Amino acid sequence: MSMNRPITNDKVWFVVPAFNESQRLESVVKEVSAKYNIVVIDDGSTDSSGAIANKSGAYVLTHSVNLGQGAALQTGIDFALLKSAEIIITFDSDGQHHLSDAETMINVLQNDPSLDVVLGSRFTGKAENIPKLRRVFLKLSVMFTNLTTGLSLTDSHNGLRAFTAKGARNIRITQNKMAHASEILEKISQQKIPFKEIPVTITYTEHTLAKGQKISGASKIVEDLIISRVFK
Amino acid sequence: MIFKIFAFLFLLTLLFFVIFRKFNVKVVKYIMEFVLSCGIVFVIWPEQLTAISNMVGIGRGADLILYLLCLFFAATFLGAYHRFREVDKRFTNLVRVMAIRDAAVPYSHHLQNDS
Repeated sequence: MSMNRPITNDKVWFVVPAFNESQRLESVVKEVSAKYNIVVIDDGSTDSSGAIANKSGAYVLTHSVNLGQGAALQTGIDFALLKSAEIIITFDSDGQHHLSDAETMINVLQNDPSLDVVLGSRFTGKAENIPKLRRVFLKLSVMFTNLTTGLSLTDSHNGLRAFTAKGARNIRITQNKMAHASEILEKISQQKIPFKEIPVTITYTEHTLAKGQKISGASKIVEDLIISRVFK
Repeated sequence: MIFKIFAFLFLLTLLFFVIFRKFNVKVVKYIMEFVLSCGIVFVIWPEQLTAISNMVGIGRGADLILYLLCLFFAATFLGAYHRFREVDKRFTNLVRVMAIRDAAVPYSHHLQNDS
């Protein structure tokens, strides 16, 4: 159990869903692609996100129509697995995640072969410039998720996660929209997939706040989840 | 009286449609034939419907119809939703397969291969 899992950088794949993210995408892709593989899923953008990502060093998969973040993640994960990825990182396209946190996750997976998933938590880590209302909403969703999954997490809607190939194969995202975050946690709980939560920093900027999940999205997420329980 | 005739003819036409149409699921055909036949009977003899309602503890025939309509609506809605989810899944898979098939290799890789 204490043996390390040696993984070279070329076996690490960053999966980055992007929807009309041309402004921030370039710096994210350039930073990541300097060391790791990166696949950007252009989820039906109407701007030049795809072309920019491609020029900056990413593989680009194009959804011909907008399906949602959950669907985009699964497309990218499928692709990474096809490319025989051993570690898959889900990473946001708008620059709110830090590469150094992702690298910590890679290290955690390398040093502890019993783990299949590493989740990021902004609440044991840092949530820079997070608005009050959003904090409340996120905390409530953590409570809801812990209640329904039986896990004890400190963050439930954090886009920064790391999976081993095995972990990624076992968690298939069927929630195309934002409810995928809870769906992933549900599957971790149902299949008892070994995971660890580590502190990460999320940097909120004007841009991420304008685009990010709105409070009104919360009711939609709850609705998606309830319906997903009725129709398995 | 005029409405009765209209309703009767309308239901009868529907019934013929159902009888002579092919259904993938036979049960659906039988249920529709049964419901339409009941409809015709109760249009002609509405007091029979009230009698049946009384048997199951509902005061008026109209109430029984209302309750049944509610159930029917709920069932139809759930069925349609289920179907929508299935179609949505297929659609997602299609878009996904196309995206992976047409994956764009990073620009820099092209340059390396060209030189």
